[in-house]
Amino acid sequence: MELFMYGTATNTGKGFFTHQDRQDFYLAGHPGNVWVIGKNEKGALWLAAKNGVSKTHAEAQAIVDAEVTAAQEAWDALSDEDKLRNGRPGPITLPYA
Amino acid sequence: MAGYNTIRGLRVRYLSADPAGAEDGQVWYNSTTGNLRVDGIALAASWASGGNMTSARSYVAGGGTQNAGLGVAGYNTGSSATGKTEEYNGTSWSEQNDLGTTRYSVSRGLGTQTAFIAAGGNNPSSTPVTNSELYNGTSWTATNALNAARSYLSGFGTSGAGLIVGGANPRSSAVNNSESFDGTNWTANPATPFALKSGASSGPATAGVFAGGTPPASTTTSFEINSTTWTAGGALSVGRNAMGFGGQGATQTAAWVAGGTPSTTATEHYNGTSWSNAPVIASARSGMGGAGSQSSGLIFGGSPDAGTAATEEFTGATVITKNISTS
Repeated sequence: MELFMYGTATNTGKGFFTHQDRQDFYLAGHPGNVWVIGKNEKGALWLAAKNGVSKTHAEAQAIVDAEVTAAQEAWDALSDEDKLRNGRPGPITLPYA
Repeated sequence: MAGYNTIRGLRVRYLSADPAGAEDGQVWYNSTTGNLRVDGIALAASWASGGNMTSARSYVAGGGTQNAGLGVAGYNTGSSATGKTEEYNGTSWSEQNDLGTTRYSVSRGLGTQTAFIAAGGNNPSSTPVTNSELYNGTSWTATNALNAARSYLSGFGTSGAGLIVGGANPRSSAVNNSESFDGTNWTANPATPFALKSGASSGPATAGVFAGGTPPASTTTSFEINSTTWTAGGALSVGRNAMGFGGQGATQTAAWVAGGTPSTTATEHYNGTSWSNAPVIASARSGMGGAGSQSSGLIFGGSPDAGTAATEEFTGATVITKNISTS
């Protein structure tokens, strides 16, 4: 049984995800407006209600990878001094089950 | 099967509006909305989305409460350092007057939405400075300067009885000193038993807790201040720096941290003795602003370097009224 589904949706702010949503299904946001959502009816309804676009795990991972690569390239281009602000963005592996 | 009348000794009431002061387990029919309603349904503690900031940024300072929060300064790759100030009302952010001197990584957690101190930080050339300004809910006024320039510092207490701790100068070198603010002047204090930047500060200046920080990036230590004496506190489960925390809105015996570097969604609560895991934030981030209490927290902005506008609100476990349905 698959535990997660994946999608893209823009965080519109207050009410985008609620305390009830967090109780009803797993939800984790990632770069590129990618969301990993617990695979149940309420999770699916949430993504649809947010005008989200359903993605496969591979598609979602590719979006995140592209965002991380862009962030890493931007970090690499910083001066040594500016690199002190924050560490180099690390890879993100979306859960798959 | 026993009916509601048998279980509760009451009939399901037919009401045009939800009753005030409903009891746990009470059921009624709301004729206006056409819903069968029940009170007293447990809702677990969690983070939910809040209104997005009007200006995305990281290295933002925060203060106040969940429904009266303040976001100050920060850094955005496109516009570099920013002195923008925003107020949160529990629903949305609104832009206010900018800091007089543009900086980022100013003191975090020192004060409220209507009385906040922004001390130190990096100027637009990323050099630590001594500037200090007071926000009164409308505008910023310069106060006397810090004795020692620093950025990535943490703040405790109020604008009339404040404390700043740690930080760095230059940016790569953490400092082990602190300064107290009496509403007019900053006074240098004896050295702290730690040299850390980007740690979490919670509580008043004379009864706070300082957690995490860097170096190293995964520091788990915490230190409590009582009057003017620092002692070791409980260790974080997840070492981190540049996390969200409650500042003046939290206390030494009810502090919290969320997110941070290395990248994590972990939230932890402190009870004055030990840190314990709490519900995770939805999106990992660092360098965000924070405000509020352990049961009513707020994080906003943060990494990546370009900054995010996203806000999350924490609400402790509660009971709510819900519709009764078959789905």
